[in-house]
Amino acid sequence: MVNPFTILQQINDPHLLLVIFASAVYGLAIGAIPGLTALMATALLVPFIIFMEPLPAIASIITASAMAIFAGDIPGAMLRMPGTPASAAYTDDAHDLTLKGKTVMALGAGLFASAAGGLLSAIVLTLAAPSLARIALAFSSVEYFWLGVLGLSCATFVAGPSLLKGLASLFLGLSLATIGMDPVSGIPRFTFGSTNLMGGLGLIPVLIGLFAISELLRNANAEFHGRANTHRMGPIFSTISERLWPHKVGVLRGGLIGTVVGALPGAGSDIAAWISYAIARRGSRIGRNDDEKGAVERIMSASAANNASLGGAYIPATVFGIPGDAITAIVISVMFIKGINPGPTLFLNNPETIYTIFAIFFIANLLIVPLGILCIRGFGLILKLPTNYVSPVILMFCILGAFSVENTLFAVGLIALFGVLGYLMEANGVPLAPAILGLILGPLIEQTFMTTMLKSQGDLTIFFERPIAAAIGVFTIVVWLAAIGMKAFGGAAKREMHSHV
Amino acid sequence: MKVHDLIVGMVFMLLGIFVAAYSRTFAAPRNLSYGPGFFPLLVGTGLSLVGLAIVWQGLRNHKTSPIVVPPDWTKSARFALRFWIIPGVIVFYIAFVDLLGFLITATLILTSVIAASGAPKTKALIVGFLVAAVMNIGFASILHVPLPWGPLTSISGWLIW
Amino acid sequence: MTSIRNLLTTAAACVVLAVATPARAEWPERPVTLIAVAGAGGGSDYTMRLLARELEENTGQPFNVINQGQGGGVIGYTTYSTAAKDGYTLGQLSPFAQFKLLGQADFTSESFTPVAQFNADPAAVHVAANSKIKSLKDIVATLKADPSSLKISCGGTCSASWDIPFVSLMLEEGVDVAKINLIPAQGSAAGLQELVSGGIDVVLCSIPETDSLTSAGLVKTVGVLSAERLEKYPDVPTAEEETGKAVTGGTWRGIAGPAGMDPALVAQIEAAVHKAFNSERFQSGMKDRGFGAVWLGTADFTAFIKQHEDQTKRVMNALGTAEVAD
Repeated sequence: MVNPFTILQQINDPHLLLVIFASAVYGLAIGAIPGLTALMATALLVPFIIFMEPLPAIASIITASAMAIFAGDIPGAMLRMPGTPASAAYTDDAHDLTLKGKTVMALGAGLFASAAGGLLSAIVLTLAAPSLARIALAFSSVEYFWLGVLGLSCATFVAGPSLLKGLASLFLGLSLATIGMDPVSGIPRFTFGSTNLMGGLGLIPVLIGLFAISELLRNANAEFHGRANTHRMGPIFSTISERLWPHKVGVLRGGLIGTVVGALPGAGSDIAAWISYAIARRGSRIGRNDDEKGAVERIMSASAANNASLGGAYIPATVFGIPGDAITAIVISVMFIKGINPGPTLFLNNPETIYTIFAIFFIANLLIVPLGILCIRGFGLILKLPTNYVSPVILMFCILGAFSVENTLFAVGLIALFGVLGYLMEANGVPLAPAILGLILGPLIEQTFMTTMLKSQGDLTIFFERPIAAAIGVFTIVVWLAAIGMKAFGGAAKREMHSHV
Repeated sequence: MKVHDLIVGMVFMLLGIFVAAYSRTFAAPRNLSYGPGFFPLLVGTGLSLVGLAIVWQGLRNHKTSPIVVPPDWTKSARFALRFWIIPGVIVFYIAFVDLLGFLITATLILTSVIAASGAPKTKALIVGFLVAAVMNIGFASILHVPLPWGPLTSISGWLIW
Repeated sequence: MTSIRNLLTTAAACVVLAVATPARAEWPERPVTLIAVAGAGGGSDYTMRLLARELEENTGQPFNVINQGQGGGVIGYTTYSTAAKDGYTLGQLSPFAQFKLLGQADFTSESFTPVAQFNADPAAVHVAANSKIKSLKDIVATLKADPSSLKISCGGTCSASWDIPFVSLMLEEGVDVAKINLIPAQGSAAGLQELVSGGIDVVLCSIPETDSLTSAGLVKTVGVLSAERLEKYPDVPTAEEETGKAVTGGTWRGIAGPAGMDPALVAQIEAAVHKAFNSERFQSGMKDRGFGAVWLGTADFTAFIKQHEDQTKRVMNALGTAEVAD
């Protein structure tokens, strides 16, 4: 049986605690700097942890990734430069709150929801990892396909005032996702003979370009919009927690969605956050509204899912050695090297180690609150510096951030190109978020559709043959019909009202 | 730069038609029921239809909005400089970083963008160099991002910790 | 602006100085870049970093592993095969012949200067533990009766390390391979997920990748495409034992540079890599993670990649996947 004292003993190691603290600061710093992303934070950690002892190594990557994913919300809310593809879902909601002088509300919501979502997934991990892993393994390409199409429906919610322009942005993202090698036959598409295009467009450089660079371009001759409001960040963190309590259901739902989606190998935090956002927008009584409370509800649901998915990814990783994302792939590597081979036997033979790993989740997610508050304050102070010194530094960080993730100068070029494109789209009322959604989901949908068709030799009924697939499929179709219907009907009703006025 | 919805829709429509048409040239090497051109055909068609709908919407209110609203950077040379220097320095980085190394390239970029926004040139140079040096130490020396060292290449062994 | 121009001139002068310094015989006298043709955290990344750690220790110069896995590695191969031939930009060489045949790139064995191979992992054939298929013989018999009756995951992209040797074996058996239903996956983990969820019948990948699922009682390995049984997996029969056809293959990793490197320099690098390969830490690092440590020196490795090209060409023409037939 598991002895809690052994776990406490393993945790209460000054070296381990130092690693956790250092990784937390590192993750927060990288996540909070515009242009640097959570993916970059973990990728740059690899060379350092790959030969470390397993516990510090895993603690380091767990802490750094949890912190970086939360911290990505900070530049998203204050500067409209999301730090992860996942936070692009609610960047506009959060930034609107900042424009109303409610930065604290937006970031406080993200902070508490991130910690709560992370803790929730840690609880699920501790209680039910082996049985949940079996469920995750029941997903084949058909189920993933439906999940991808369900995620796409999110585009109608982040479309802004014009559904058509939102869809145009989504289709643009989906088209851009087809650049590079075809996922099935490997045929180069839209590469025009360029080797650089063979690998497709990296998601992170496109994200940096569309959001961060375009924001720099828009503000080239102005101060940041969010800046004027940062001085209002008074000592109200103690009171804010009360105002967040009504959103507990949203956080719970987001946390569960995040854990489950995160547990599905191949569907990471990005997809989790978008799906949770879509469900909050459609299914929640509070989240449906366009007011402040609705925005907070959506931010909290998506942030909770975002951090919970990190924990979820450890379910198939520790039970079956199947990595849910790039981060857990590294963790599995580290575990194997040290002879802690993932598998169900690990839970039987070495439960102390596995539950110590889960305990680190609790520590990391609890640390988010105090360190996150410090980080938000620090960020607010930096924004008080003159814009004409801060934005060139952000620009340089964007260049560094694109380069460090892809290791190519081509990626740096992409941020310039997509910066100008994002600027033009924004100026013409074409929302940016759906394009990112298309880039995230396009490859998943195409890949799963194609492999499913290979399996069934072109027979489309396979999409409804398996029970889980049929259930998600029907749900997806309903959500899509409802989404389009509501939007079109709602839009028509509004126009009607305007014409009467 | 804001243009009329007619033009916005037209751009999307043409792009969609291009994607859809180009997808017809992708032939699968094996006999697949859905080849590499299937998905691009689908999204290209979708994009062109959405574009068409935006054109249609634009036609209905073509009189109420102007064809082109000039952006603020057309108002003065200084504004134009501040805008175009951003993509400009990114291109400069790509072209020169391997030759000059990160430290010099980043110093030049930071200095010129800060100076372009109206700050004193000496101060811009000092701030630019300091920030570039900190970035170089943090990312190349400590975090091992493979940033080019330029003239420092031969001694870079001592500069990577 | 004058200050900027001055800076530029100074910088240019520095560059000229740096370039003009005559190259000395000792390699390496400055940091070496090693391109891994895969992303951070995977098997290629790990083995390259393992090797880099020893090289760094032995030479006192940093060996920076840079991940360029975009486009299935095409970007990484292009970077180092077009780099300066000075031995300071080297990279990972792994199965590459399919790129040209698929029209993705122009790499041939002439595009690289092979230095040495340090790893090889044989392909293996896996089925679900509750599958009707119990052995490699069953698979051969089923495919002979109806070549498209089994859904076979390539455990990654198709026309690559795992399916080429498998199809090669089926060719020997006289199966109509053009009709085989090969399904690509986003890596072996995704293929195994499909296998366990019941989406497909057979997965091709290396054995260590299935350790956890085998111990969970979900996956069974029915054969390995190596000359002899693996030390760590004595119960898994080889393809030759099962079918009588001595077909072997799988993935492999080596160090290479751009074409046309000075043979004296190559010999120096080979010696350094060999020393790193023989170190106790490298050997145990490979063993712990289940990677096969296999050494081929420059001459053997050069011959080996030619052989790899021929096998890939033959199999892909039979499959009908080659775009450029010859």
